[in-house]
Amino acid sequence: MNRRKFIKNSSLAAGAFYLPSALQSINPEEVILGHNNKRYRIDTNWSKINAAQYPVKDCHEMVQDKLGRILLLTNETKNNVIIYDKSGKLISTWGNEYPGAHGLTLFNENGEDFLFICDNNRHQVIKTTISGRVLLTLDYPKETGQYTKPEEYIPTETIIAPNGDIYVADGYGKDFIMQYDSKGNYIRHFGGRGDADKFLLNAHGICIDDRDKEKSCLIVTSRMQNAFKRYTMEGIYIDTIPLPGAWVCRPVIKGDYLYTAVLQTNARQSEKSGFVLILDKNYKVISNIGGNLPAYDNNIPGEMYQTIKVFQYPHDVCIDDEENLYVAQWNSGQVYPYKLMPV
Amino acid sequence: MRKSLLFIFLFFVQYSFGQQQFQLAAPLLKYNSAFFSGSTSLQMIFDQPGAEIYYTVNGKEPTRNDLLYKEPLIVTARTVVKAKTFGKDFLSSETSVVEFINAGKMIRQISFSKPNEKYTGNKTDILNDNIGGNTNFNNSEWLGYNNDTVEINIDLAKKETIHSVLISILQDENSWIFLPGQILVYYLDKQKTFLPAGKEIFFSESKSPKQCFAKEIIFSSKIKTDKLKLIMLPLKKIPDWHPGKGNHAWLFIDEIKVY
Repeated sequence: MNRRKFIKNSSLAAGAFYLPSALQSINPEEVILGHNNKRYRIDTNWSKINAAQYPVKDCHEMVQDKLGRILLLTNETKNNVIIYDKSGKLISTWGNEYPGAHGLTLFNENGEDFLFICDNNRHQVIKTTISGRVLLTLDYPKETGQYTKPEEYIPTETIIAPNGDIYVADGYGKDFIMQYDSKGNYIRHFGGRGDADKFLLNAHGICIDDRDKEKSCLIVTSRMQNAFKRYTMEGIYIDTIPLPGAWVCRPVIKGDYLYTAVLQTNARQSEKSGFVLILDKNYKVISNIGGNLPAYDNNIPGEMYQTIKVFQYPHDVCIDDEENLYVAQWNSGQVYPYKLMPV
Repeated sequence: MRKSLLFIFLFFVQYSFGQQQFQLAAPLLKYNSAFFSGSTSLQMIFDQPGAEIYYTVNGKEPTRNDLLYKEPLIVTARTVVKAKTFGKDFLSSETSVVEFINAGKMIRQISFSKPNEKYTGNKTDILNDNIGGNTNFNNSEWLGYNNDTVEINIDLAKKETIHSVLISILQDENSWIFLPGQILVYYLDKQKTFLPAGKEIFFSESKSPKQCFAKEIIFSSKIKTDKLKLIMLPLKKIPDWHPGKGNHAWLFIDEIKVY
């Protein structure tokens, strides 16, 4: 939604309350979002592209490549990948064959950028060059013995280890995590559903936490459990990072911090109640953009919820080389990504 | 005419200064159950610097001139609480609403026709357990139906003089959960036949907010009985204004009271 439309809508929605408040504050203070040292100004009109020419459906994920460009993945097959510069101007687009485009991961292999796309509809993971040439396709993982047909497998995310191993999260299928070597040969699987802590429910995202170089680990989303779960690189469960109330999407690590889009909250499901959450190195919530800063009791945060309706259903956060954030949203009226600048 | 000019003026002022006003989210209302006997408490939660919660207990929309929330409220009578957040630089929130429902006549048991297997609640006293009033249809407090007719039989603990029956119904139209088309109430008379006691027809002609709707059907005259029968008719077709139009609607109920 662009701002003009936003203002129109909010004027209608707020009715009588809108007029007095507008009179009092003809030039209101600019809203600063977030907490502690992670506070931002927002630009909801960052994208400068023409919606009629380059439409989007759901804006699922974003990454920045080595040239500094911002890549957006959408399930609109007119242009599955939209490439922007940091000011929101269009550079180029590609891709018409990813109707279920969901996960977008960038891996720099010996100096060259490659992309991994998870397609929910095709039940596949596809490795491409940065300009979209297909290099490798991973089909449903029958090697695991857990799947009998492609439809059972709905991959949502990948992460690539420094040695090239590919980890795939089957977040809308059976919640297993599959590990392959760089050529796509199956190594192992773990996760899946069950009652013990090591299991997952809606394994929507995955990343590698290498902030402690000695002890790199995997962080996997268990979205319907409102948590991240940590595993060794071999898939042995380590522990759970509870985030009460927050439907966390994929974890994204940049510098000392972990960022994640919260699709919605438990308190307000199906009510556009999302925000963006930031954890420090010790997995403590230090800022919520559009949400409350939770109190901690015995290392467990209190319930989190939306406080400011900045976002509807945020689905991913990309952090660029200047610490700006870009937020892509699912099912939010074909809105283009927002940009947030640190203050 | 003057009003519309002012509106246009404000629109341009707002637009030209380039500052975006966001809306606050509505406060969270925390309570064990909307149904109580004796008393219960309500906590309101909204932690956003500079924002405050104002509420009413008279059914009106809260304004800054109403009650400022400071500490949990104690509820001792049937009450509608409406709460809203306000803050400088933000548009005020939408309204959070909860209706607290007091205990009625003693109920021995309530039997009900078979709900959809996904929403059975797994409790035989689910409609008279004093638990419910939360809008999440996925919790085990709700019975969910998507068939044409729902029959409910209420056995009171003893013969009583009664004047109304209250049914707590979920409205969550995004999830295809609607009020029923009709509710018919019957009572068992001295001759052991069921006679009409009351009736309610609902028209879901436009969008409603997501809420627990406590419908009290008041009889035209008081009756003496120990047995009531409710026939509820879920909407067979979702109305045309809704994206799910033409499909069978759902009916969700979580509690019944007799007064």
